[in-house]
Amino acid sequence: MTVSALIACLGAGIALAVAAPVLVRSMRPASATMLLTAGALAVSACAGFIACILGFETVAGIPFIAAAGGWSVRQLHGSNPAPWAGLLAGAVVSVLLIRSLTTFVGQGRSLWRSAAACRQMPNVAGLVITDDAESPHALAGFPGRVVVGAPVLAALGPGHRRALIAHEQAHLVARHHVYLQLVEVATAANPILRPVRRAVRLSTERWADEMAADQTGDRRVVAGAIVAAATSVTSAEATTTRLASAEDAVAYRVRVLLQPRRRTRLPAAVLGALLVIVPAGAAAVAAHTAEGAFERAHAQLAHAHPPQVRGVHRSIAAGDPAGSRSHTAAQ
Amino acid sequence: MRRQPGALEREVVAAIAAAGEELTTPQIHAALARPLAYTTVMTTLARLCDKGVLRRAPAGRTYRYGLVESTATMGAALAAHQMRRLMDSHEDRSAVMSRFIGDLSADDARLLAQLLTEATGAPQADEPGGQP
Repeated sequence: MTVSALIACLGAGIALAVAAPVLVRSMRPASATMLLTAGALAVSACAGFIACILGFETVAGIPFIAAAGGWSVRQLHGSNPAPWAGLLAGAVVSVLLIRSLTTFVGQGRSLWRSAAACRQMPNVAGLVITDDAESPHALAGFPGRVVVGAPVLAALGPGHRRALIAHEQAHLVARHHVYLQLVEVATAANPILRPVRRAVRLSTERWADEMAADQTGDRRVVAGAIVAAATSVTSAEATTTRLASAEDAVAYRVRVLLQPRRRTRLPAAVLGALLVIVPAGAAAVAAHTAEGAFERAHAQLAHAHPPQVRGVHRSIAAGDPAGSRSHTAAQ
Repeated sequence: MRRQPGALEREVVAAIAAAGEELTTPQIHAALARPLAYTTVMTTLARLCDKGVLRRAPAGRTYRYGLVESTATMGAALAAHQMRRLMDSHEDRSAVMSRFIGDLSADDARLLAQLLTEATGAPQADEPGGQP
C-alpha cells in the first residue's frame, strides 16, 4: 500500500512535470508561478515522506530492531511484501534529503550574499549601471537592485529603456527569487521536477513582462524592449551555450505580448487543489496504512507475550503527526 | 496603470547613463518616454541631486546633470560580488585562490599585494619608518 502511495505521488510529480510547460502557456503568469511552486513543494515533500515510511518499515523488520520496538517481525513482513523496495526508497530518500538540505542552505547563503552586496554596492536610485554589455538582471536583496549595462541602455530608445527597467524592477517587487529558490530546493529533493523549474523560470519572466506592460500601458513596447535588449546583449555573450533555449523563451514572450491579454483558460483553483491533494492524500494513506501495520504487529506480539506493557510504542507506530493532519485535510 | 515608487527617478538616471555624458534638463525631458510636465522632471532632478545621486553644473539658463557614481565604479563593485559568489560555489576556497593568484600577471600580482597591504593597514616591509 505504501508502495502504491509512493507511485501515486511520483505519478503526480511526473504529471506536474509534463503539464508544467502547458500550464505556463495557458494560465496567468502569477497564478502559474504560485501553482507550480506549490505543486513542486507538495510533490517533493510528500514523496520524501512516503519514502521515509517505506524505509522505516523495512528497517523495523530487522529482528533486533523489531524486538526493541515491540513489533512482530512476521506481521511486519506480511504487510511489507517488498523489503528491497523499502531499502531502495530509504537509500534514495536519504541522498535526496541531503541534496535538498544542501541546496536550501546554499540558496539561503546566496540570498544573504546578494543582499549584502545590494546594501554595499554603489547605485543610483536603485540602479547599478555597469560599463559592459552584460544582460540586465535583478539582484535580490532588501531592497534589491536592478543591474544593467550602460551599452544596453544606450542601445535602447526611451520607451524600451523604461519597459526594461520596469520589467527588472517587477522581479524585485514581486519577489520572484523566492519562487525560484523554493523550486530549486524542490527539484533537488525530486529530480523528476526539473521541467517544473524551467517552467517557473519562464513564468516569472512572463509575470514581470505583464507587470511592465501594466506600468507602461503598452504591451508592444515591452515586446520591443525584450527584443532590443536580447539583441544588444547577445553580441557580447554569443558564446554561451544556454542561448538556444533562452531565445525560444524570448520568442515566446514576445509573441504573447503582441497578442491582447488572455483570460485564464484552465481553472487554476481546481488544478492547484488537485496538484496538492493527490500527493497529500497519498502521504496520508501511506501514513495511515503504516500506522495500522505497526499497530497490528504490536498487538500480535503483545498477544503472544501478555505480560508486556501494551501501548508504550504506539506513539512511535502512529508516525508523523503531520501525516495524520494532512489525512484529515484530504478527506 | 500601477505606479511603482521611484520609477521616474530610475528612468531619469538610465537616460543620463545611456547618453554617456551630462545632459541638460530639456535633453532629459526629451529622453523620457512619457508625456511629463517639464516641472515634474525638474522636481525629480532636484530630488536626485539632494540625494547625492546626481551632480549638476550650471549651463546657460539651465543645468547639466551627470551621475555621481561612475559606471566603472558600479561595474567594479558588481564584478567583485560575482567573484565572491564564484568563490563561494566551490568547496575549496584556498585552491581557487591559489590557482587565481598563480595565473596572475606580474603587474596584477604587484597590484594585489599593494592593495592587500593598504587594506590590512600593515606597513610594507621595504618602507623605512613604517614601524614606530
